Amino acid sequence: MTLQMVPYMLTFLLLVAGLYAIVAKRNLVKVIVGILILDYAANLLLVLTGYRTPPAGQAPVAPILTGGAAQAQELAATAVDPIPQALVLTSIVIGLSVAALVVALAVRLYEKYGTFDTELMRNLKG
Amino acid sequence: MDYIRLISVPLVAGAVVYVLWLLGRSRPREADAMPSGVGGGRPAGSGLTQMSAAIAVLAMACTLVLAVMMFRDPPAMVARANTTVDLGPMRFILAFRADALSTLVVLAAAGIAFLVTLYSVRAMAEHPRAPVFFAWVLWTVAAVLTAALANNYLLLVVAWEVATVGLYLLVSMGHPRGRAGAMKTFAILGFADVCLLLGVVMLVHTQGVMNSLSLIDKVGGNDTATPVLAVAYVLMTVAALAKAGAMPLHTWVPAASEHSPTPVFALLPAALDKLLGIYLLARITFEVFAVSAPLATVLMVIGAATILLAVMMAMIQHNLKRLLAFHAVSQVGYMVLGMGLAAYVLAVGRASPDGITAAQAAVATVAFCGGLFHMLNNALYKGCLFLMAGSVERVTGTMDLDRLGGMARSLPVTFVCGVVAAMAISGVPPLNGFVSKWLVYNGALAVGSGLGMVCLVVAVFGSALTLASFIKVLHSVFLGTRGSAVPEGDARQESGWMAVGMVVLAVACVGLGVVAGPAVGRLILPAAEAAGIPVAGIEAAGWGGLALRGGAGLWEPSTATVLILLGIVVGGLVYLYSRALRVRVVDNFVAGEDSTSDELWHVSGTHFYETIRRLPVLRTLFSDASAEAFDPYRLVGRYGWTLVEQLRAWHTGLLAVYASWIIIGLVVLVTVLALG
Repeated sequence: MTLQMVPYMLTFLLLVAGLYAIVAKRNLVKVIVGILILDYAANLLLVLTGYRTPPAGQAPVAPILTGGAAQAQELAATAVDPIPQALVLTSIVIGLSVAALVVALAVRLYEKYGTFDTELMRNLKG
Repeated sequence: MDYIRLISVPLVAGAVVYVLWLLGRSRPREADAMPSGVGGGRPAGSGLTQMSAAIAVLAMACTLVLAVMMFRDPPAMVARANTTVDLGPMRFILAFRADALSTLVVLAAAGIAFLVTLYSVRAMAEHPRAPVFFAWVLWTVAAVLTAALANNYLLLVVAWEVATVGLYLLVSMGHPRGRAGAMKTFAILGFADVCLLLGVVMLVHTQGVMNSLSLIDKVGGNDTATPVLAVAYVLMTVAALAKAGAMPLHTWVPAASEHSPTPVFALLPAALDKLLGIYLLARITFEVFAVSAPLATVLMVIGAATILLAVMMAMIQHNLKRLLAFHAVSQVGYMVLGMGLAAYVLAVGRASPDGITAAQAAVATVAFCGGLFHMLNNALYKGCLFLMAGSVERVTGTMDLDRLGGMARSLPVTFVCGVVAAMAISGVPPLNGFVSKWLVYNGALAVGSGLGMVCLVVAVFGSALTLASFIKVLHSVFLGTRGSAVPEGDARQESGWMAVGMVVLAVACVGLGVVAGPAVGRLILPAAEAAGIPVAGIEAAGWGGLALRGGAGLWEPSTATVLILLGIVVGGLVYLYSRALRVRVVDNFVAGEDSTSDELWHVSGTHFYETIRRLPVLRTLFSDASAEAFDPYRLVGRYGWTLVEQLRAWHTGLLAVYASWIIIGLVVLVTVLALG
């Protein structure tokens, strides 16, 4: 495993942590936190796929065209991919609204059952 | 246009009746305050009921006239441009076709429907929802006519399904306790409809994309040696057999019989459903598919098993309607056996190097004509028997054989019609049931295989048991002393409306038997030819119905008939002789008890066959446990419930468990996609 793989591995670890919280935690608030961690892990992974590791000793290039059309080819060859970044911005906003919705649902559940313990909410039992 | 006119008459009449009922019901009436059925008086909507009955009878009469016209002069196939439905990859024509087979079914269906409607005028007069009954009967008849005339699978499947729904609605109009039976009917027939749809889809798929969905595309070209076509044939056969009520999908017939209104049962399971099922069986077996010998053998076995097992169940019944329902199942066996024999002979002929010989064609024709003629005859005498049961039920209010008896005096017309129909169903010459059974027997004799002989023995034995069980029926209902449910006195209790249907059907039973030769020649042989049977060399001749041109072949039934008639004469002589003897008649003396009441000396016929029920091997067969084992509906219910219980155990209601399942599924999906 090269050193470049380490961020990916850490992201994956984050994702598994989120899944673990969703599956294993009984407290609804912890489950929601798990969902959010999962969300962030996915965002991070997307950004990572667009990242371009610069040659040693140099800083990564931001995808901003300053020198006119003449530099466009060079910039495209060296800069970080902007599309995942733009999409992840949208995804963060969506994640926020999802979080708001889930929290609202959790509040309603608390009002109905008087607890955040999911084991006590078993109306789906066959 | 002829087709549309014929079908739309009952369709429109049904709509008119239904609208009338909706309008009439919405008007508030004072009489509605009184619960219907109390006091035995006519219910509130009697004016409406009479009007709808009149409309229904008129519409049925029109349908019958149109059906007769169509039978005499079959119109050409309709295939105009504006009936073409274009669905891009599939284009088909909503076409009708009237060949001899279709028009025979249409004629029989319209005739029976007319008589049963006449009968219902009286039988349904006190039913609170009689107009709805008439509307549904009219619609169901329209659906049956459409299915018989359709030359397009789409039309056939839709009409077939409408007939199923109509049957379900009509059956559930009876006693509220009959809901379970109605559900069972709907479940089994719905399964059959799905089978039909699947079979049609498979057949059309193998025929190519640009198929016209026509019923007959390439005649006999679909050899069931191909596995896909064999499965398609089996699926469509399952649908046909379930509709006709052959084993093992027969169990809806007795279940629906007990609590449904009698005219419904006389009309649908006893007559129209049989016509439809056997019609489809004949079409697919001889025209659409070229059935292989093993499949034809299966048909033969199903036919023989149905004859024997159903009639044995019929013998031990205590409820008249249920008993008749088992006979309705049993009689299907003869039709299926006839078709199976014909298919087997033709398959053997096709497989041999020199093709179908003249002798094989003759055997196939005889067996097929027997089966088809039996379909027609069954509709007649079975309809008559159910109308008889309804007539008895109107007077006594019960169908329990233990509580009936001695009704021959008060219902003489019913009694005579019942005797005629019972002899016809038992195959007593010279009635129609004898002729069709005779043809089937001849087919089984000539088929030339050991299994054919076994089927022959089973069929003859089944026929004898049929007679035995009808002796029980006639004795328990009409003869002997008065049963507890029978009203006092010998006053005539016949209803004119109800008698007409029974008398016409009984006369038809006698007529078709006496002039069997011309009847077979005019009705059945053209239908056999239309179904793709090689009928060359066969002509309707003599009293036996069919004869081979050029002599050899069929047994003449005359000897058997003379012997049977001789037996009847001898029996009559013995009876007269015993009457002539001097017998000392005294009052019963039972140790001073009052012994004059009929109830004390009432001997019901229901125990005639208790011995059979208690025989060592049969006892296990007749027990409730084995009844369940023979009933696919209950088997599915039980094992389906086990499955449901298993699924319930998996539903813990825990969020974490569902999430785990989702994640596991996701992992599997990703793995498969990544590896694939």
